[in-house]
Amino acid sequence: MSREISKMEIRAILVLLIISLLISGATLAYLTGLAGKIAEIEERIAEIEEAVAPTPKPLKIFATAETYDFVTDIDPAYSFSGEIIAMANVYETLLVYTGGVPEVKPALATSYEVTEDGLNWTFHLREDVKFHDDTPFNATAVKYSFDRIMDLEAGAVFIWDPVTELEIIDTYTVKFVLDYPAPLQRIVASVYGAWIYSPKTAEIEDLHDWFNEGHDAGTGPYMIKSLERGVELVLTRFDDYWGGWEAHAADRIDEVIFKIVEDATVRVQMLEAGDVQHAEAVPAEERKRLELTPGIQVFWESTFFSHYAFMNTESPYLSDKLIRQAIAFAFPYEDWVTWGEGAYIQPVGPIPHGMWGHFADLFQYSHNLTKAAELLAQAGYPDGGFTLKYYYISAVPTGTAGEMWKTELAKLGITLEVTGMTWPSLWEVIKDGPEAAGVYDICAFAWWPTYITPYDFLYNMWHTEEEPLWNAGFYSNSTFDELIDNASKLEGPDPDAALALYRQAQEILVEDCPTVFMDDLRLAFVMTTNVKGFDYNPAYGYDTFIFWEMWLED
Amino acid sequence: MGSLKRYVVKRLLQTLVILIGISAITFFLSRVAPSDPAALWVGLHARAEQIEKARKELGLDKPLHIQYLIYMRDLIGGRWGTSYRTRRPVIEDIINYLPASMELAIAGQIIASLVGIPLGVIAASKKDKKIDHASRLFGILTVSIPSFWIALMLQIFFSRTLGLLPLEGRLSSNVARMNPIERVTGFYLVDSLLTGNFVAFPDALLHIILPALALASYSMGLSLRMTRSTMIEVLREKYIVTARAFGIPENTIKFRYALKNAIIPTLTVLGIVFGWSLTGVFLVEVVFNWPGLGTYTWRAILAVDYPVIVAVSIIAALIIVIINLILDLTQVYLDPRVRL
Amino acid sequence: MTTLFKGSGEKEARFREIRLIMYQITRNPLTLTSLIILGAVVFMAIFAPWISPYPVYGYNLEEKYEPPSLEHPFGTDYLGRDILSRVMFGARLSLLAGVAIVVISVAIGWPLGVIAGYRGGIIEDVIMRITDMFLAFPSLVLALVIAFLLGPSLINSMIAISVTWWPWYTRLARADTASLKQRAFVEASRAVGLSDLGIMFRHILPNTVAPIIVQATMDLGTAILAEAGLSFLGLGAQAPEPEWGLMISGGRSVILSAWWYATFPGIFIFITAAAFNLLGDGLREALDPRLRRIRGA
Repeated sequence: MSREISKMEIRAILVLLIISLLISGATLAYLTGLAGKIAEIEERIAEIEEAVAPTPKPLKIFATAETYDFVTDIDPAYSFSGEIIAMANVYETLLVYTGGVPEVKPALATSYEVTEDGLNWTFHLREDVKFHDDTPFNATAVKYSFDRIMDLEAGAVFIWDPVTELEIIDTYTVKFVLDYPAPLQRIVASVYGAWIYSPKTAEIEDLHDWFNEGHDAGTGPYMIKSLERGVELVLTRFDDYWGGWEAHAADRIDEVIFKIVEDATVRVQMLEAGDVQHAEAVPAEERKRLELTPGIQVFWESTFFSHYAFMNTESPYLSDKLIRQAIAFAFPYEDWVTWGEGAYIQPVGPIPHGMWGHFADLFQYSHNLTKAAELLAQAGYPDGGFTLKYYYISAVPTGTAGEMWKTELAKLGITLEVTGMTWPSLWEVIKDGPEAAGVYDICAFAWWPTYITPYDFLYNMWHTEEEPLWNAGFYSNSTFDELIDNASKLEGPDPDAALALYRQAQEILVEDCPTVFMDDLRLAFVMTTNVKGFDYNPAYGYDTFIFWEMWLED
Repeated sequence: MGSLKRYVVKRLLQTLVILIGISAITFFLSRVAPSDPAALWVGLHARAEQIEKARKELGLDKPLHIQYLIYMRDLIGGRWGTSYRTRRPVIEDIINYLPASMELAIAGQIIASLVGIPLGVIAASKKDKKIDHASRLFGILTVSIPSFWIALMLQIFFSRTLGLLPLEGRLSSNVARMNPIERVTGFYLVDSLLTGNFVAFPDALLHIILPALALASYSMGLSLRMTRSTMIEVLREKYIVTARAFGIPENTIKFRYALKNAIIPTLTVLGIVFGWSLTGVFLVEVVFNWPGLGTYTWRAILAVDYPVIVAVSIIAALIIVIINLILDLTQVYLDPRVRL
Repeated sequence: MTTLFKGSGEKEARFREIRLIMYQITRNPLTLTSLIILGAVVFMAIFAPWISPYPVYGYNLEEKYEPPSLEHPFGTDYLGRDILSRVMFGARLSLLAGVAIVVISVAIGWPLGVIAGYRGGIIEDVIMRITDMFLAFPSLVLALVIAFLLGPSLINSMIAISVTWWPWYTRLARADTASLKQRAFVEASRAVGLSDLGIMFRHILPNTVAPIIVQATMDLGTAILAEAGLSFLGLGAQAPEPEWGLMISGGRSVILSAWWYATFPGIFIFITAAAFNLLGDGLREALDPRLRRIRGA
């Protein structure tokens, strides 16, 4: 009996295998058909590229492992997100923010003048600059770029609100006419919405799509060589860059490869293996180990990126200022900084350290449960006894902050429900407004500036909003609104007066306490030791490198 | 044979209804999402007017049923939309990522079948003896392992501790740069052999082992259990016993009666297990950063990438439905009793 | 596949049946082991607040990521919390999720299947086509989408999974009902004047219990796996809940340095799911020979 069965087994198994092969084969055939066509096209492109390419020489390549697909929109008019890390090397603005003295330095503009009333700005453009497509850079290009973003109303177009006109005076001179005084020198240095690109692109149909396929039209030291979304972005050196390549000529970076590697462990492995020269977002445990590893260097840089916990000022409990202040005193500031292991510093006020408009001597809440209990008692809740809902963005550290805050609040008799949700969902809840059923008591997210001004922070997060957008605390204070609106108008003509008004506004914010300032972020740049010339400009945000300033020693 | 034709037509019509139903469900589900794709499309610090503009451009301001009709029309016409996240046509993305998932699913399937089916047959033939119990226990245990966990354990053990196998991905970054695999089918193992790329082949093979094992861990048990039970059923069938009692030669019994009837349930096994693999592939892909449809869909879900979510659901359902259809039709062809 | 004939006035016979089944179950060493394991897990879940060595929330930054030791047999996590304690509390979440998912799926699928099988015709067609539609759907994708739409949370992931699971019970119940329909006692009931609804609920439903129970028990294990999977992907339970799948996900980024964080919760998922599967398998074996004896006669 058993011998017969074994023969039947074999046949059954054989039939099985044949059938599975057939099914696989059918699928393969279909896919081959499609893929075959794609392969043909790719082959032809490769042939053309080969014919045009110069003789290869050993390249100096800087590869970096990034966590997320940072490429959202690389059309310079639309770009408003993480792709800045590439855009900052491919495109240029008229001026660049330095954060020091003087606060801006020349880039595509060599100098500028502004009239007394702050309404007329004349920029002198740099000569002998070419775009990557060989078109010369001049006033026409500036007007073209500016007009386009205004027409499309895309990306960060709002930064140009004060501007009514852009006049071409001559080939290398442009004049901006403003409606009201504004710090245009910082606006034109904005990292979003201020890029200048080639007017020749006007001839391209579906320009927005063309850009996003992986093309660029900038003046910067690097050009986009290839883009595979979700996988990698490759930049290659623009030899005719106006800044030149003489310094450290043999060691300058020829190619930059941004690889998307979502797994932190793998990023670390790639760094240690030398596959990449930089790994983004290295977990604290690994970073501590890498700091001690030969061949790896770690730089800590301040950023203008901060985390905020917005308290819903219209919710039953948090509409009471005393309770808000109590909650603010319950947040474990020091422990949070400790947990960050260098990534966080205790903030002071709503504006990040190092940014113009930051006041280091403002009152800052600290972790003080006694004070918190006092305030709660004053508010009529000596033993707490209520529940608050805290929403954070899933998988972001603010969740851990929530967990720690929960422990502290529990000591006051307050239950904190910590819930994570995706950013799109959270934003929807915010936009639904305080009347919505599922609204939170506290929600946490981060903020960073578009161009350097406290107004960017203060307006977006705390100015009265009719339709909630970013003011997640639904905070409304007309004195505050007036102060910051006036201050922003004074930034151009009288910066000191503006600062005084901003300070007053911030003091109100601290006193009213609609938001807990959780931390200012510091970024750890974990790189191989052969990377030289690194200098971080926090205006760009993210882990932006200016590759033109760097070189690789080997 | 007329009734066969009628049955086929009936099943095809039902399949069509099912597919339409699925497309409608996914479409409406995704439109009900508590987040605004127009806002996502425009970007993080967008202004209200820009969001409104994007909503109009994306056609999201039209009434729901009109949106559905437009969507169906585009679907049939081959225009499956553009992913909000990657800004590429969804079809292109799917063609890029599907082979990776299929290769993994098939590799897992092969491992699972090579282990599960023979074990199942042995267990059936030695029913109630020690081997049977052991095999069944093995089957039950493997089915209880969380696939994402075993994937991580495999990573820890083989990659971290032993350093034998790569941690993730389909190919090492070095090999991908120096010896990229020319795309023929999109299956790295097949393509590298076809194009004589003998540097990439072993690399791709090493990379697929752990994920395929993780995937196979579950299917193995499933294959084993189902093979065993169908084998037992078949062996016990009265007609087999009767045939033997009547002295019909063993070979005739095997080929004409038993085999035919063993195939049907075994095909069902195959179909179910493979169908499962398509979803099981998901979790394993995520752990191993495998650039397949699973990771792509997951990211699309997190980003509320409507076009992708709907398209992938329909395609996945299509595959399963087609497999089921083929299985059913084969079953009908082989077994006249099943016809309705 | 029925063994219990309700409504035929054989109470003693039923009790003997049940006792025989229990005997069969406990006689099988594997099934016995699974019962013991499940008992331990349930005990752990119920008494977690009393027997866990540390609290489930709270933080202690000095003990971050400590490897397993005498004080912390499973090590600590990113907030210095004891993983063993959190695993104990996690048992509550997983068991709750598993039971809820199965109960909801059965509550929806079973009656639908009975109705479909009994009534036949158009009703059956419609119900079965809808069932087919859900079955054709890649269940994980559907569950993910639903969980995402409802908002990631433990409860929503349970709902999402149940929505994709009920079709299996419908199919099972329908097949069983279809064969039961032919039985003599159904004819008899109809002759006596019992309404369709009455027959369905007083006769057919109870007699389809056995396969449903077996399937449900085994599905408890799979339900726990499914829910853990969703939490792992970030669409189920959210921090700081001590859910097993969520902990594994948290452990993922540190597997090179803190391997224990992902390992131990997974072991528990495995043990619990395996125990349920073994129990279900044992149940099926126990109920099966009964069937053979009665039907084969």
